[in-house]
Amino acid sequence: MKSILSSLSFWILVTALSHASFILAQDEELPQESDYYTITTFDPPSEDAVIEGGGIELMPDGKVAVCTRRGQIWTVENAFEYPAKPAKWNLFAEYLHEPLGLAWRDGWLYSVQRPDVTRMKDEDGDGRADLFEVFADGWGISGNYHEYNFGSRFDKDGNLYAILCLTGSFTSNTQYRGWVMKITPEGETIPFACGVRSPGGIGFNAEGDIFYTDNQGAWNGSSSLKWVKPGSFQGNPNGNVWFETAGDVIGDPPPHPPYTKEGSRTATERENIPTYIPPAVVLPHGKVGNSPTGIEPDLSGGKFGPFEGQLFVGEQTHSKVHRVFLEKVNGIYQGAIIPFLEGFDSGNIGLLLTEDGVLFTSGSNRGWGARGTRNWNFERVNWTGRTPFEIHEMRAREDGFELTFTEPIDPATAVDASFEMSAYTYIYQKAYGSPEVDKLQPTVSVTSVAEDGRSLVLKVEPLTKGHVHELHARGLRSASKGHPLLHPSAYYTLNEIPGGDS
Amino acid sequence: MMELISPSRIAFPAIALSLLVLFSTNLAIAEPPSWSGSPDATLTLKTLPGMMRYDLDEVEVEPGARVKLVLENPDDLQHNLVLLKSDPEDKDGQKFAQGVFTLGEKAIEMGWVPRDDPRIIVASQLLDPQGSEDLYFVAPEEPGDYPYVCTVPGHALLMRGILRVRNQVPLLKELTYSIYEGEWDKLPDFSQLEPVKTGKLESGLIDLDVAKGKKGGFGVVFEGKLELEKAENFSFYLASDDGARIIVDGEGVVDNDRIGPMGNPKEGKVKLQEGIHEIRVPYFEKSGNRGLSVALKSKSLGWVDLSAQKAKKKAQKAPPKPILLTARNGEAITHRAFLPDANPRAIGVGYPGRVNLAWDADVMNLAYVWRGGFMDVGGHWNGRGSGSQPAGFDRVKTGAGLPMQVLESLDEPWQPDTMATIRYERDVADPQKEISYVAKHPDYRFRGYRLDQKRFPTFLYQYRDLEVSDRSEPNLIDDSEALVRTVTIAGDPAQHTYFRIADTGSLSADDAGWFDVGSEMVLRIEGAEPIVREVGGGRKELLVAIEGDTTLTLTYRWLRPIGGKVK
Repeated sequence: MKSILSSLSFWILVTALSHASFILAQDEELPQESDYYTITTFDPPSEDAVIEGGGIELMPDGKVAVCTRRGQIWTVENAFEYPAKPAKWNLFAEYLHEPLGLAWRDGWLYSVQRPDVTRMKDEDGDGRADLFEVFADGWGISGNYHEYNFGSRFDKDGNLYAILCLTGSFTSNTQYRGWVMKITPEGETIPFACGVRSPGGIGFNAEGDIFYTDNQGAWNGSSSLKWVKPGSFQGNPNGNVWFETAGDVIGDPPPHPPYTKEGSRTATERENIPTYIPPAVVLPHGKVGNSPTGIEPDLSGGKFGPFEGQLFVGEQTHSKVHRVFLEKVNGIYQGAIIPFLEGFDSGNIGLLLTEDGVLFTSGSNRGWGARGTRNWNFERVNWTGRTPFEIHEMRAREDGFELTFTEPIDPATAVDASFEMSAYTYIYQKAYGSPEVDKLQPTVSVTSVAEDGRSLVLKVEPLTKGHVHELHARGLRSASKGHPLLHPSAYYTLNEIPGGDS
Repeated sequence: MMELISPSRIAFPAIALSLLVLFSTNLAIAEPPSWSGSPDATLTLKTLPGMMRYDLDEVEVEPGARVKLVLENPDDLQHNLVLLKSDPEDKDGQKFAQGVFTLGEKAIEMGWVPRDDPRIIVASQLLDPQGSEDLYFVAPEEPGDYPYVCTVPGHALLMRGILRVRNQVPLLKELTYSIYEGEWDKLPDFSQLEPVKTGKLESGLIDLDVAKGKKGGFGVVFEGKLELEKAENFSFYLASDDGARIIVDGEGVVDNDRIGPMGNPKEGKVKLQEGIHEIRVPYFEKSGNRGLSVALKSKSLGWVDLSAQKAKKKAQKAPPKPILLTARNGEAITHRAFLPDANPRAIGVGYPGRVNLAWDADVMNLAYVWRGGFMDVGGHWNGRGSGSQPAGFDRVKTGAGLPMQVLESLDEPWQPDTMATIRYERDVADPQKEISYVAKHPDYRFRGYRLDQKRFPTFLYQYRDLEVSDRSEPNLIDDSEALVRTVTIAGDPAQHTYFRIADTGSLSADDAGWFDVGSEMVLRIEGAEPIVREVGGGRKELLVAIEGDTTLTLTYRWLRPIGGKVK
């Protein structure tokens, strides 16, 4: 269906531009995601095994460990070679309380679960953990299912971050629900940032700054990728009651955002609430996904394809992985989400992208449906070595955007008619979610194309601070084969306009 | 590894037969009746392993039905099933079961079934673990509720149910149908149209099969009579794809006149008098899927389906399927999940030998112990995770709460678990709700647990400057399940440090030093001198003073064995 539609829009374009150089044979197949990235689905270790992955970690011996919502931790041998070599599954630990984060350090496997960060060790060498040390537990749980805890890996200073979901959509009934907590190398739990609603994962970008994904709901018009600046307020005030017990480690509580029925806008409230950090990249709800999850930077030095340094973000409901380009403008992170890969077997939650350029995902559809039809998945993504024709980066400029590409573009298609843009934002409000509002149709014009065909500059009028700028570049073609972009869409969240007032 | 218990049918073991030959004074293994190959109804009842329950607490048959009842016992205890005649003085069969127990030795010889008792409709043999038996009986002619119980001592309180004998003849009489053809988006006025076909439905059930073969673009009107023996309030339920309506005596009761899928049934209420009522259900199908379910509910009739297609019963949310965890291979299970009647950080431990405990990591103490099956994790592992449920029975909670305290005098009260309160500013427009939450006690720190070769956990925590470990082992004392708990306290305690062991029961001790902690459980203390103090309201507490490195051995023993032999 998809390729039929693509071909159709392609033919409309061909007719419109009637340019001889990109007329293809009508029956030539357009490239697919699978030409560039393959998904390998692992068979379960046994018929009754349920691997509802929440976190994935690479062990020093080359095994891949995955913790599951049922509280198991499996290690997988030959995870990189499977199916050429059979995967050997070992049940390292079980009956933990819904662990959603896994990190290895100095002979211990750390897992963030509902009650605590537990670190585990197999002392008698039988392959099963026997020592379960509670490393940190400086937060509350009330017994409500909604209080999920996700955990990061270690940062360069040896800290780990636990992110604590609210008690319900609108409540924080025990300590630090709706907060990010820093776990020091000594096991101390320190309040680190507030304003979280319902996270789906926490990790780092290539520079080591902390990011998390938050789900659409109260005070979150859309799901988004957020930057956890130390001491920041992430927008949901329901957990701010715990400033009272946090002491002086984090300062004063932020002023309340407006509780009025009409709500406000993120760009407006940034002016009123000094510690409020706007979503770095909005993941437009319903368009690109419904429930973002794990975050992994590509530190493979090109082994995972042309996207070194960019972020990969899991998506549970749509069973996808997104790609995110980030840049810092006027001290604030922002950037674009570009679709990357879909068709996973279940709802992705945990991600691992190794330095060897291999991506693992695992997740489940339990409690929340997913497009992937299986109840859980453990899957591996490999780059085939072929370079897809993609928007590589989308950078904001004073009067528009600069796009770079993974392959040279056909300059003849770098014309205004190849682009289409809409811009919108969301209501910042206490009610659940928000429609797209304040919609605009900016005009897009191509102002310059690089000689090597690898970038171009777009002038966009108007540029609107705080708006998502949704770009479709359906008319662009690659220079070599005349192919359209594998993913012609990008969604840029313009928190700051370069050169403008910060 | 988790164990999924899936009961499977296993032939009646020969050993049970031979036991009966030896002990039954009134041995009469009835031959299957002549109709055994063609019963009117076949029911299957199973015991739930470790849960002291049958899988169904309600079954229904028609009056006079010839019933084959397959009883399966996948539990690891002996069980039986005795179906009784109604007795207004003993509606649930508890008195009957109690009466069997008082027969003493004689009852054991009878396999806990006094077969001469006129109340018995049918009774199984005493089924060994993994045993099964086919029972045959003719249901009473008198509609009503007939209790069934397991008469093995101590079982009937949980192992019981009701056989409902009900008339299940279709309620709708003289049911007819008329089929029309046409393309509609709403129900047309069928009275203005000419049917292409009409007929009778002898089954008394509204059934779209009458329009089998039609691809779409049709309508059906069902008409029948509802005869009521008494005036009552009724709820009618309608789900349809596409539109339909329920009309009673010319008045619309439920309206679902639109294009769309079945979904959950719509409900409409009406009070109906005794006598005959006209029921009319017009229906139309535009294209695509089709479906029509009609049902009613009243106090005396219960839920009655009026259509061949069964309605989804409203407000009957199926509970998650039980998933039972049981200790296997001599190893314990240490399971972290939300548990009832304990703080959120409680940890369940299931030991071999059908003894289990919940250890509360919010307060560093035993929350409770129980016997039988370990844990039903169906709620925890399904949906969004509502928590686990201890699967067994005989739960005893004694001495829960903070385990240690410095008491300047024995008059000083034991402090409750730490709950803090905070004003909760959820909304500046509607602020200042106060909530209380479990706050960490500053004197305690949970350090985790270590599993030994048998995967038995030793819980580790700090209390002030003391390092404490807490480990339990299952045992059998005088055939009764017991738990031997060892609490090791290392370090230099502050003066007047006490450990509270129990706060329930009479706390009087017998000559052997067993303290009564209530709930048919006794407790013995080794390693320190017990102190019993009055705490007001007739309640007592059992403490020991901690004056240096201390090893406490606390033995918790149920007074009575679980009834029924274990294989």
